[in-house]
Amino acid sequence: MRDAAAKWAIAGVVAVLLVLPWWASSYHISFFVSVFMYVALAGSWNLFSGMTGYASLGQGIFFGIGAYAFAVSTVLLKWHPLAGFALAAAVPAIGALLLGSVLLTTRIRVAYFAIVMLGFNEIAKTIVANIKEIGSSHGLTFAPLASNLVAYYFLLGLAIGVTALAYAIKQSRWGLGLRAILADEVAAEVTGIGTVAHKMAMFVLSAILIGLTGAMIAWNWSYVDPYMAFDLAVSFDMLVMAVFGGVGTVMGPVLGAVVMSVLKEGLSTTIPQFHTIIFGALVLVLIIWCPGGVIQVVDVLRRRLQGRRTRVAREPAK
Amino acid sequence: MDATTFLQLLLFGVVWGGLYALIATGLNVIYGVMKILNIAHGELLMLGAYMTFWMFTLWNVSPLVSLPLVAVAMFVFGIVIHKTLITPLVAHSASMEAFEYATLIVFFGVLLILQNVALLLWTADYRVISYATEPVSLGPVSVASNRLIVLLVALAVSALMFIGLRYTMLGKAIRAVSQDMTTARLMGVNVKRVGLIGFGIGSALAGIAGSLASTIYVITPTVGLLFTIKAFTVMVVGGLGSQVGILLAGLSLGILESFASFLIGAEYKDLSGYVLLIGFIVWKSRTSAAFAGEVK
Repeated sequence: MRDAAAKWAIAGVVAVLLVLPWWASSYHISFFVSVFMYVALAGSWNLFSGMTGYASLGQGIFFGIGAYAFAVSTVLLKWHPLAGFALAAAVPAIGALLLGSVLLTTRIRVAYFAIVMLGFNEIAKTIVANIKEIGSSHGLTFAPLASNLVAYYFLLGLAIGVTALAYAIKQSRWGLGLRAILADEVAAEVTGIGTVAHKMAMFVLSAILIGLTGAMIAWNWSYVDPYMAFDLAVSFDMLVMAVFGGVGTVMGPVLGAVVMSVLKEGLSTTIPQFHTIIFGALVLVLIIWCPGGVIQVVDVLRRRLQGRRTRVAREPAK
Repeated sequence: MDATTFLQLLLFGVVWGGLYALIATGLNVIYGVMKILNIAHGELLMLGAYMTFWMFTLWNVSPLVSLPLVAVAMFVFGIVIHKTLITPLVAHSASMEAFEYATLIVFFGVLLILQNVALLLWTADYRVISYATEPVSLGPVSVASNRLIVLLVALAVSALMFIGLRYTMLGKAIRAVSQDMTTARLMGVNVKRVGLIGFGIGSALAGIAGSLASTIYVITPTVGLLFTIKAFTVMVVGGLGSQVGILLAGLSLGILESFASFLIGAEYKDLSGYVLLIGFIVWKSRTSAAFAGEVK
């Protein structure tokens, strides 16, 4: 009953978003582009870090790699954008396989993994900024996007895809394996779950989706440089949004990304630093008092409401 | 490269290395007593650096005078952070892993807040203190006296920490808790209190390092993360808990960076540190059972 209602609500929201560009102004379109970007990023972060417990502080490295793969292939090699997107998925996937084979095949402390990923992001930034052939620190400029509706629909599709993937994975046997890893990796391994395969697959998946997002956003910006592509803020924002919404859940990152990007949009024009301070404070408060994120708060409230309703319904029968 | 350049680079490396070792000592005390990886450690350093900068700029207070004041202020700040943020987490967390994950995120939040509050209050302008810049000749090489002061103070504080951890009752308690929390508790060590004071001491050390760094480096609100990663590198490479190891690792990192920036290019200075860190973690987690066992 509740599931059916939720499904209809989600279908309704998606339908509205699909036809929205007919009415919305160009400003609103670009706002929605950034919301979808954050939903896709937070959702992709959640696919790996949220579901395995290995919080990554440098997942944005794949955003940069994807952006650069797309830029190099379409601008320098004059490839078709579709081929560019294929490359923007393939290169992050290969990168994730390499990083994963180094970091995820042996057990590594959660905090070490977080910082090492951050280190990799900084290494990538430095290397890219020093390669003359791809524009060094000046970056590359695209032929401008014909219409930002391309970015709108591409990122909307990606955001929905990421969320649907999270849902499908959580329902599956694979998702059960991931839950076991999250709860206790040693026990999971002893039970016969292929922990390395589980972690690697999610890491690569997360990298591909983040890479595609990076490619589309770079094209939408119409240029890419190392400091934007590998900006640590990208890595940090996706973490904050996923944690705020609810780590490891399906709708948590969506909720977190929507709330946070509205907050960001509203505050960044007045005092640019303010939204980050509020992000930090919200994350603190949530982790300390409600580790499940906003989605847990919603859940508890809904259960309370329902509880009251059933109690009210039962009372006349007494 | 002639001998003078070599010695000059070595000396530069040693100065930075001493400072890295000091920052890592603070990070290590915090990590030891509570298994908290304080990712906002560099932000504590940044606060210390700004305190020194403002005291110097507004009232002309020498960094050597403000240093103990900064240490006390940051000790108190550390205690406050511990009381408000860590104490509730200890009560909530189901397991050590959950606690580690939660503290990582919490201190990430602290990092965001401190960094952006600093940006809001003091803007992103580069701040520099011009203090004790006259050069001193040491045989064939010459060095600005502020660098010499930084090295001497860093070494002195490191030595004090070494003695304190080895011979005082509190130091012994900190080491006991770092090695085995449960056993320490069984032996009658007040683990909670040691955790609290350990966090305060770690914060104070970050503040002291900030005071020192402000005299030889530009200060910005976002300077912290770089120092956190350097200190983390030194702590991991030096072997968690070993004061001598940390000093050696700190000096090695400083010297490595100094030579890397001369031989390969200044933009690769920080890169050399990252490569050292990642290489070390990957290598150790594959070869040392003790290291891997202590991991997750």
